[in-house]
Amino acid sequence: MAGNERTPPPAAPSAPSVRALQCPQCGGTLQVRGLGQTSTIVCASCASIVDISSDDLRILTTAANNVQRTPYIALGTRGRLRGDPYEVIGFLCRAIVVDDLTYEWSEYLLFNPYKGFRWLTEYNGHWNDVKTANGQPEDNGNTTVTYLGTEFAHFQSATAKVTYVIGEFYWQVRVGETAEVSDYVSPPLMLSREQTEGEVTWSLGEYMEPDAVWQAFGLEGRPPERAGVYSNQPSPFFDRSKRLWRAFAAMSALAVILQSASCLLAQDKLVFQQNYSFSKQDAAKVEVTEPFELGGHTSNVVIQTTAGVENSWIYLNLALISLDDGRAWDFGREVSYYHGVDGGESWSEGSGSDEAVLPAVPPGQYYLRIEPESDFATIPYKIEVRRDVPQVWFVLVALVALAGYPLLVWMRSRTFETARWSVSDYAPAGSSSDDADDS
Amino acid sequence: MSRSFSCPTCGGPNRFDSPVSVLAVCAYCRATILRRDLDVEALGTMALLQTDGSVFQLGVQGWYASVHFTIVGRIQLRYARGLWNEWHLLFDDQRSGWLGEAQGSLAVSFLRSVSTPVPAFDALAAGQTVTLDGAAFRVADVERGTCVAGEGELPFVVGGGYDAPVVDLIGPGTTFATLDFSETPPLVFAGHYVEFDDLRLSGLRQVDGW
Repeated sequence: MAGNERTPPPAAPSAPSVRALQCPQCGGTLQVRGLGQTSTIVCASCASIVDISSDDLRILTTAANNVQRTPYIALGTRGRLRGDPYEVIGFLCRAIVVDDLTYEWSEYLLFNPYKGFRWLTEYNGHWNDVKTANGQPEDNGNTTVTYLGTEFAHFQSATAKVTYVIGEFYWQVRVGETAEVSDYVSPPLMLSREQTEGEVTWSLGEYMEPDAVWQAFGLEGRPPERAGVYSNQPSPFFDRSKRLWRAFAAMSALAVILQSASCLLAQDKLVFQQNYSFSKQDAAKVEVTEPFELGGHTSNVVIQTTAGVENSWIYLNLALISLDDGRAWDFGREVSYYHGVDGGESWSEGSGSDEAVLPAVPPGQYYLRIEPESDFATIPYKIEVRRDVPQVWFVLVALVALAGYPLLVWMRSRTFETARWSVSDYAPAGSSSDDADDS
Repeated sequence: MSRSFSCPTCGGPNRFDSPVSVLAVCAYCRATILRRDLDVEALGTMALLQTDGSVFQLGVQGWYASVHFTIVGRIQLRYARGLWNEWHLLFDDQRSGWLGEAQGSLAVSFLRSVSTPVPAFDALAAGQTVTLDGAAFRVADVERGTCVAGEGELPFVVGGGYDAPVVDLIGPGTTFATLDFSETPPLVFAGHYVEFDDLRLSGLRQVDGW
């Protein structure tokens, strides 16, 4: 409704994309890309830091940088992040000191006149895409914070110091300027709290694959090799491990269900039993049983032998033979039992019974042929044949076999997490007693 | 609701679109014009806005909380960190609001009346907690800014060089509030930080090369 019948006032000119100013220190040209949204620029020729927030330029620092550093992405390079073009307008390095070791990382300030600022950070070949978090994360009081529904674990707190700066920034940057920085991680995300005099700012970063950075900015060559595991680097094993355990749970449940069903449905039927006696005099005698019926579907047959062995043994050559087609299952079983007292200690070996399982026997009429052997005079024994006996060991073997691969991946995932946290405030050096208790 | 008038200084056609606007800056001659019951009165001349590269301008349209708005005015402020724009929004439901723009971050706020007393400006420091109608806010920033200039129509009288002592408060989630101590008692503006894309803006200024 506004402005239809209004005579248009003089149209606003389109905004220029680059403004050229003159360095008040050395007279060199300052190329301002931040279009009035930046307040500080570092002179490329004399390294003075100039306040450009008002028309009268003010020198904040002269000769800011001692050591030259070369950014991977040059100032003025344009790339595309999350669908929007961004230009690199500033570059700085910051360092923290932990246990007398200095860790330095780089930060690239990116600008889009419509979308504002974002950062790319780089450390040891690991990259993060970072944006100011306008919201206020909630402190859960147990070294975690919650932001927009995600819980972040505290990783490290340190004092970060600016060590190198080129380009332009939206605040008055100074080399040597410090901030208390605390990082909280929930891979691939990282939440950082930064406190300077009287101001607290939060930023939210997301881990970026180095190749994706190279592609986004059309950079030549290969990105630098990554060293170590970064604080919010997504674990290649975590998701896989989770998926594998879910699959394991499903397969285990299935195995247990199948096993339970087969147990419930199992006939467990005694189809034959008879007592026999071996006699040395009749050593060549072969016993042949009466035919018996194996019913139902193809299933297992369990042949149990109980023998009256007492410091003796008996060996049985057994054959289960089909009356229908003459097919035979040949097998041999030994039953032996020895015991005694040796040097005051009683001992025993073996047992008076044995069980043989024939896994898949079709239904039909069968008989057993038994050829016993022994060195002893007489040994009584009993043969029992059972049809379709539930087998519990099967599911246990299946579970162990299924768990193998998930366990391997889980161990690799654990190794990855250990590497991640080894450079945090919670590194094993401070909590080694806990680790010792675990192992 | 809108009221057309000729600028008392240059005769240029101008209009008040918002019922709450009391001041207009002539689009042709920068005369500051006070709205009165029956006519308008020229007060003086508005200072020049500083070039700031903002992509916002008068007439930009967008959406906030499913209500359509048009930018009808702006005040440009200067703080320690640089320039800051507060764009005066006129919503289609005749509500008046503000779009704050600073260092690439955006926030929409509305004037709010609070029953709890607001602490004095000098008693506030960053890090403190301020309670407004039961909601706890953290003081993020205490700034003694000045107004650079204004344009379009505004709900109060303002001009270049006016003091703008403000305190920024951060609340839970993406909520924030600004205490504006340029009036007594101070004005409370409360709202949310917003994302550029969520405002579905049109009529933005074109930037060369972007």
